[in-house]
Amino acid sequence: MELSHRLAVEEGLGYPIPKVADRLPYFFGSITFFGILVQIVTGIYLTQFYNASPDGAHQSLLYIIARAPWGDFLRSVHRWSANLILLSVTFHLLWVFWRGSYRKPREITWWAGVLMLGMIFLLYFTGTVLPQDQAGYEAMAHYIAGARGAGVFGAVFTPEFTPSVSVLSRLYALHVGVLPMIFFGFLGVHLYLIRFLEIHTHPGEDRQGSTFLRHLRRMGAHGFLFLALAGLLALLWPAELGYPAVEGAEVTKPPFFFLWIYALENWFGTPALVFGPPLIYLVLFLPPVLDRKESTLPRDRKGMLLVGYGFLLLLFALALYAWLAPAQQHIM
Amino acid sequence: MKHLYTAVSFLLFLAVTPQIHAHGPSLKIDKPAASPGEEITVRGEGLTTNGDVQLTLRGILEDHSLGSVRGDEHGRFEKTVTLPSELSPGEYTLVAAGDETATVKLTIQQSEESAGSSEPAPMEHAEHGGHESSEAPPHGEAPHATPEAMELERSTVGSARGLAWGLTLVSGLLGVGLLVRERGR
Repeated sequence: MELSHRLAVEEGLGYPIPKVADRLPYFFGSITFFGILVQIVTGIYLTQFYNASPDGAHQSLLYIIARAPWGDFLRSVHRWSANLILLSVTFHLLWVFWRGSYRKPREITWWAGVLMLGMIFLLYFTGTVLPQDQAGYEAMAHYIAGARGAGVFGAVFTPEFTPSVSVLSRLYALHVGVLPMIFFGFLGVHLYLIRFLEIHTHPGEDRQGSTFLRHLRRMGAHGFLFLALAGLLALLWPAELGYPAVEGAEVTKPPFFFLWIYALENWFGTPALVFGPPLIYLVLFLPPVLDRKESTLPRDRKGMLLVGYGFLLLLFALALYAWLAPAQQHIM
Repeated sequence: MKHLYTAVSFLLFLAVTPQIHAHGPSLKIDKPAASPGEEITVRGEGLTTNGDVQLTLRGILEDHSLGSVRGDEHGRFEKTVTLPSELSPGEYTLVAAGDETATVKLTIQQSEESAGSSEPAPMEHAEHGGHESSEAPPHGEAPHATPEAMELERSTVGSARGLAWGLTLVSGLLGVGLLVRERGR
């Protein structure tokens, strides 16, 4: 008897799904998921060498890069995979938005996705802090400034909250434990709802025509391609490491996906750290609330699409401005 | 009665053990943290009587010899050493090795002189994303902070790098192969 039969693969995963779901844009969600798996595997390896103390963090990165077997390559895969995840999750979000798949009855699926997006951004951010090079140190300084600026809401994240452990160690705990756990909680809700509310189709599209098992095999294929791309980028452009941080200095800018916050900081100072990300993040929860039209066809939702893509364009323009603007001191 | 003797003997052993340790080799430094180029004073006892003790600063990537010192007739020694100026910040272990060996932790902090880079980028030319900055922090506040990347010795070289290329290629071929097979169904 075959293993697949013993595992009831056909019975459990062979259910019908729309034919349209076998098109490439429908795979960005699963590509993101495979990226997360790559992060877990490479992250577990890196954890064996990383020292989350302020005095030892940068040195342990040097060890990972120069001495740990495969450390340099796997760290580079980890770094590139993180960037590819941000790209694929952005495409996933844009595709779902374009299709109007956040509409009733899939509001909670969308909100669970937005919450996961938040976790991914926080995972990326906490990851940039860990090397404690100049960029990492400054990112942490901004995190502390934001936490202090948030008053009672941010108090638990400040250094003053406890002298028993460093902020770096606490961010590391968030990165390797707390955030992944929350992420997988939301992922469970997301996948459960996709399974039982089914994949959204537009009028005229075949609601069946394919099976999840076939879809799963293609997901696997895309997963391998993701891994190959991350490996290729890691080999061609290994992840860099900045010099040990100089305390009190502020000379770096954040990675591309966070540049829009830097632009807001240029104009509004530290308060932008407190209000900017939450406000812009909250906007992502609004589409299911604001878009109540009957039809989900893009041609019937021109206003919503215009607002949505205008919002995206605004973020991109802010990032572009921040990239071109001279480096500024915000908190030091 | 036999059990009582055993218990008393065990308790006596426990009582004596700390005394034994108290007279074992010990190593102390006058400060737990220092900067590269700074002087620290090392004191020890119980390592070697009338013999040399080698002092080594063990880092995560390399060791630095701090010379040797002679223990007196009681095995005591004291020496002031200058830390190498090329030390990178981080956690180190100072090892004193004679007939016995003792260790003590030492944290190397960023020094003002060596902070940031051995060849620091001028602040006026701090770069990011290919754009040249003209409003970087003034020299007085952060002498050598730089957003630039370090020149790194990397571990994935030679056969390891070849294997990494191989795995990447296999992964890519598997992905393409699976997709082609699925489209053919």
